[in-house]
Amino acid sequence: MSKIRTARGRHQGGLGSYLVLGLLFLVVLFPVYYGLVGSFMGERDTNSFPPALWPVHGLHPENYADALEIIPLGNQYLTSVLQTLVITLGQMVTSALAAYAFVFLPLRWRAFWFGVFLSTMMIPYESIIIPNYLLISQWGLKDTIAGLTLPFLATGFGAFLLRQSFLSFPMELRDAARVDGAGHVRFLFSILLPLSRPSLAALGIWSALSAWNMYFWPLLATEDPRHQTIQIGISQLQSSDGDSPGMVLAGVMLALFPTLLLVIFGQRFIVRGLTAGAVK
Amino acid sequence: MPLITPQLFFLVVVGTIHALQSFGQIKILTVGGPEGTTTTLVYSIYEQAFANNNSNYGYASAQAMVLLLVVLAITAVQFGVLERKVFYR
Repeated sequence: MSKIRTARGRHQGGLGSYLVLGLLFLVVLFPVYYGLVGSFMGERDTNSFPPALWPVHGLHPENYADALEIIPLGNQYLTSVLQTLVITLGQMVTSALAAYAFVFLPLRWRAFWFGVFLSTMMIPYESIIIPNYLLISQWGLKDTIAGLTLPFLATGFGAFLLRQSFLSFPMELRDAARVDGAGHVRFLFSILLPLSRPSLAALGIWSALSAWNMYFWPLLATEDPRHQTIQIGISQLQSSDGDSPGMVLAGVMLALFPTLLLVIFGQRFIVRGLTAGAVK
Repeated sequence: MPLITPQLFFLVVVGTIHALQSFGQIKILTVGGPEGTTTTLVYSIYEQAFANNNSNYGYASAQAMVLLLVVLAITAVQFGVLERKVFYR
């Protein structure tokens, strides 16, 4: 114990800790670096041994053009974006309504139903993927946005996250709204949701990221390359042309770009939103 | 460290569940091979039900239930054993 105390008191981050941190930083960042640099490498660089760490034999931006040629990336981008938007919006709407019911409505067996909601978080998604698949294909929804998004429109996690944030909502504001004649709908949309924006943003970013990165379900729910999401598309790149890693990495970079933007601009919301309501 | 055991506990539980559901990396990197040595339960579900038009849905569903039980059992054990070390304020 005393050791920890002196370490904190005396040197705030010595050379040693900076070395360790720097090393970890490199380990975490290296795949991203190599993805970016590798997407500009020709085959002479990517297939050399030991592998080149930077483009020794010139830049090859044509990797991107090649990737775009092999898979219908425009279509797949559109599919991915639509899928992400529908899932994100759907989850935000259903979660907000469910969380509202759990916090503000006199619900019989409230704790029990909330337990049911929570238990859905503990069932691994892969356990219910077969019934989902059979249902979607029987309804003829394969290769459609509806088929891609239907199983994900509601989530226990979202309801849980928003419930925690709604619970810390000041009841005085709710009573004030009541006195001024606001019903449930008015209170929800004009007062509660605008004030819960950090939590809503956190949920939205979390849903969008996981929807964009989905792999298993889109793999099953789509067959036509023109209706597949970009994640499936870039895995096809690999199998179509095994000895051009540069081109595969170019596809990966194209798929990574939107999520990087989302993380960079959304991170403060995630951090703020997830802890909102944790401590009153 | 003692003060962040709740967070560590959360990470351990979620990380274990997540690892038990590995699929993408196996599908892309090893395809379950060589000789099925990297076939996880989830990848096996995929193989039985969806790969090569197998359509072995019954067997795959049974595997899915086993996966559910395994996940629940491991989580229960973690809650039983590890949570005793967790220090809640």
